[in-house]
Amino acid sequence: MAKQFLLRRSVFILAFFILAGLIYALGQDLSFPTDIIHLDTAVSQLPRYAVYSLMRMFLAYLLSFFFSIAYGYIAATSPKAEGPMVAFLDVLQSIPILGFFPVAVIFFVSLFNGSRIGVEVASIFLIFTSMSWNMAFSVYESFKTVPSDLVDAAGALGLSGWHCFSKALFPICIPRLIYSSMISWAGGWYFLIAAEIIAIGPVKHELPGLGSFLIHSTENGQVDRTILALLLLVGMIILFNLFVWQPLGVWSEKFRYEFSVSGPPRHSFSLLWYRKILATTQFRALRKLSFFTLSPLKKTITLFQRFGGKMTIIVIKGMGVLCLVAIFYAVSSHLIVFVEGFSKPFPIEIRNIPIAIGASFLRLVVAYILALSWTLPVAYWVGQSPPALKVVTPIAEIGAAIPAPALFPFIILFGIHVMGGMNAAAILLILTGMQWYLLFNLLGGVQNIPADLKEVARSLGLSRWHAFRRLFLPAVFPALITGSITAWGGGWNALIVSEYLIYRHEIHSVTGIGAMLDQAIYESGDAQMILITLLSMILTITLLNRFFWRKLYVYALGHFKIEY
Amino acid sequence: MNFIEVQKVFKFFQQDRVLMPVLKEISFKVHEGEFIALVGPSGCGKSTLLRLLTGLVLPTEGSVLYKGKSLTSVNLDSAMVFQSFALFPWLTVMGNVEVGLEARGLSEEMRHKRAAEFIDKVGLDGFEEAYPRELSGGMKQRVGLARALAVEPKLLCMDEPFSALDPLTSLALREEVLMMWEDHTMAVNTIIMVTHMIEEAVLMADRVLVLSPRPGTFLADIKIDLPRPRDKKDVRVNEISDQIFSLMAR
Amino acid sequence: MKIEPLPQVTASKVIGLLEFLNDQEGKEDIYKLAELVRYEVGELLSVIKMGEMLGFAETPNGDVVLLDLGKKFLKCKMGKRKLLIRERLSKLNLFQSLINFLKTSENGHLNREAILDELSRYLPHEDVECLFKTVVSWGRFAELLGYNPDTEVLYLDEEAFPQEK
Repeated sequence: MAKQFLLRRSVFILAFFILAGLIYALGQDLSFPTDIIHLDTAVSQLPRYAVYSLMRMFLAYLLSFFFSIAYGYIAATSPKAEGPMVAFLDVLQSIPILGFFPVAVIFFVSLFNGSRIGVEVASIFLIFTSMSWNMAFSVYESFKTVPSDLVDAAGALGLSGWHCFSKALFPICIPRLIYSSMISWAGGWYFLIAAEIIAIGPVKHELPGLGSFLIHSTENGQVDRTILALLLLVGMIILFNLFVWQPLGVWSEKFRYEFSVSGPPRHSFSLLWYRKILATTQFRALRKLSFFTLSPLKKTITLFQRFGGKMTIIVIKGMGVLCLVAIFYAVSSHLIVFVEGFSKPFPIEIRNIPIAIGASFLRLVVAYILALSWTLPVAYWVGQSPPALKVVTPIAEIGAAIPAPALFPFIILFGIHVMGGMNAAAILLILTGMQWYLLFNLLGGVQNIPADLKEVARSLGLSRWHAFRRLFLPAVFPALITGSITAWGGGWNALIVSEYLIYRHEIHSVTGIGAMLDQAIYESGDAQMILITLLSMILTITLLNRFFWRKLYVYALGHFKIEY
Repeated sequence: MNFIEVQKVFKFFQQDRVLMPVLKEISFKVHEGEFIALVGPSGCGKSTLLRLLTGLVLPTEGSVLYKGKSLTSVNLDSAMVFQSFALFPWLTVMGNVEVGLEARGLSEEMRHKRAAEFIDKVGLDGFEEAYPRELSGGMKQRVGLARALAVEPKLLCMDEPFSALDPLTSLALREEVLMMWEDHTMAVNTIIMVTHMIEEAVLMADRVLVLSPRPGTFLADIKIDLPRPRDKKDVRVNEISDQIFSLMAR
Repeated sequence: MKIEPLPQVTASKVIGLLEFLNDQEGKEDIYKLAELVRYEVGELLSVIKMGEMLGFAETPNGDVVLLDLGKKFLKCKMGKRKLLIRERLSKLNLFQSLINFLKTSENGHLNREAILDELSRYLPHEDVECLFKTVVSWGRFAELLGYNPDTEVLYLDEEAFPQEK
């Protein structure tokens, strides 16, 4: 218990330092106005840029963290709000990051009079939009599955308000929250480039960061710099996984409210290492010291808690309401554009939308089949020899986080020059936004195949093909469907970085809804076109989800669920 | 030539970078047509030993000979019945029984016929199109048994087949298995069963092999030549049970 | 005609009870029995009740007694046992009514919903979903009724009702 508390506290201390550092760094540059944010593409700037990007990611993550808990909690606990809130989240999830550009520009940038801080906030907001929805979903779903006996037990123990939340409810959502955080974090990196260059038509704001460095070097065709930045990115991702997500993941296992134990416990060397540090005498001395300095603070906190058990809940709900107000404001600012957009006559390009959607859809189908054709065998292989998981997981985690535009040079070389055509390149890029979700979910599914069923397959002498068809495929089917839903979501979002790209000052694009949106945002800046393409895209995604994927999901749960 | 011969088998499992001994120097022989029960306290490695006999698990040292040949992979002449039933939830009763036949390359017509035959033998006819989720524990284990028997194995291995069932159901199933074994409806006549219930072992088996707590070593090989059907209240059943119990308690 | 619901028990449990009684020389005190087989009394009573409905056991003065038909049943092999149970089940009013109801349909096939409605007509105070499961399970065991879970159709088993088209 004490260890848990300490770990939590150390995370907070770490967060505090990073926050303080960020404020300091921002304070340094606050003096100059935005329009001339100077983007120095010298290699020596890279470390600084990496730190900037990391801080943006971190702040966006922090925001997503609190948002998702507040949103998920409210949606799961208030029956009236539940329906609309979940539906709203569903729609939000289907809006590609570019769809939030108008909000970022109209609201945040202009709110701060075009100053650097406004652009920074806008950027953080954009990263937030690529992180928070799936986290909010996982919190909501965790809260929905809180076993009622646990709530009863908490009630019987006299826990109420904040205590009930922190001791009984919150721990339940930790495992899934951390798992979805990992995916969200990777998603944040994936769209970093889109989030660091904010533009509507001629208005263009570029922030110093790893993302803009990457896009600049590819636009200029400096492959060496792209590779360097990419290596830095991968290094950061690996370190982050090793020292943050992996230990958190292992630590979160103990909050799992399940009795069945499948497989050996997972290990994280850094978690053991943290625990060792926590147990050293020096650290104990430090703890004592901090105890003396912190004890007055702690007393006030407990005092506050005693009085403010309900207060804290109100504060949390307040934060949630605040977020909702912000979103409402954002939507209403959209609405203004919306009304303006429809009061004018429609441009002729609108006729191209159905064809564009069709073309994008076909590309998604091809990418999806490609993704399936390698993720299924890999998942099967991992199922056959579990140690392979140790190799596949880190590769998948890194792969998922590499931003698509960073791969432009290689994919253009490969796609256009080897496979002959921008279409092939676009499909490869879409693949980068789809395949990892599929792989993550399949790996999860394959680990849940009961050991006795695998043993039956072996003992009956099922051939590889029969075991694949009779055991593996049905067993992972529900996971395959969940994975497909997220992969398609990711794929639609990835269209905007796949169908339109700039390499060596040359624009490569294909007919597609993603390219249309890109053109509307980066080239013409026509609010009407932005709106119409965006709406038609959201409509397509939502309809597909509702009438295809959701039905398939219900069917999968009915027929292939393993109950023991 | 012996049907099965276990020669000085050792088994270790890797656990946290430490090799944990599970079985230590086990040797015994199984003759064709025997009904053998493996008993021992929980965690003594009796389930591992059963898997060694079918080739699902290979020994760290020593060897398991089947008809004189050392097992290096799963022995397809053996079939297994699991404590947890281990049925495929997405297949019907018929589908579950057919799975093993499909793997053996039987034509659709043949496997349908054979599956139906064994479904009938275990008393499951009428349930062909049911899914496992519709069945009670007793019916599920009958499917497990039919699936194992349908591949017409030479050796039937049962891992605690009745422990997941309620007392009355397990009693009914135990009697049915004995009845089928005695009048040869099973087509297989060599059975090895793992159990932690001493009385169950004494009531059913020809020989009881007793293992010590972990790491499992061989404690005794007890021949039971009481006439069947055996009576729970028979003094000799009690005597042998007591003897095994005191061996394990030592 | 009074229709009695089926106790929610499985065939295996009833057979287990008969085996147990047979081991105890055919007679046992109910409360002692509950202790011996570690059953909750309510559940044990359901099993006994089913045994009585099938005519295999009797409960005079707080005892359970194995009847001759029960003894005969235990001596039979699987196929014969099923026949015995089919014979007994088809004499129960519940099964008789259901079978007649199925016979009124075109080819002895009726979907689940229709059967549930019919059952709640017979027994308005019963949980018909549960009753349906029990009826299907016993019907299948005795090969009186068949049920296809994919199409949700209950039908007369050809084994017991050969080609009555």
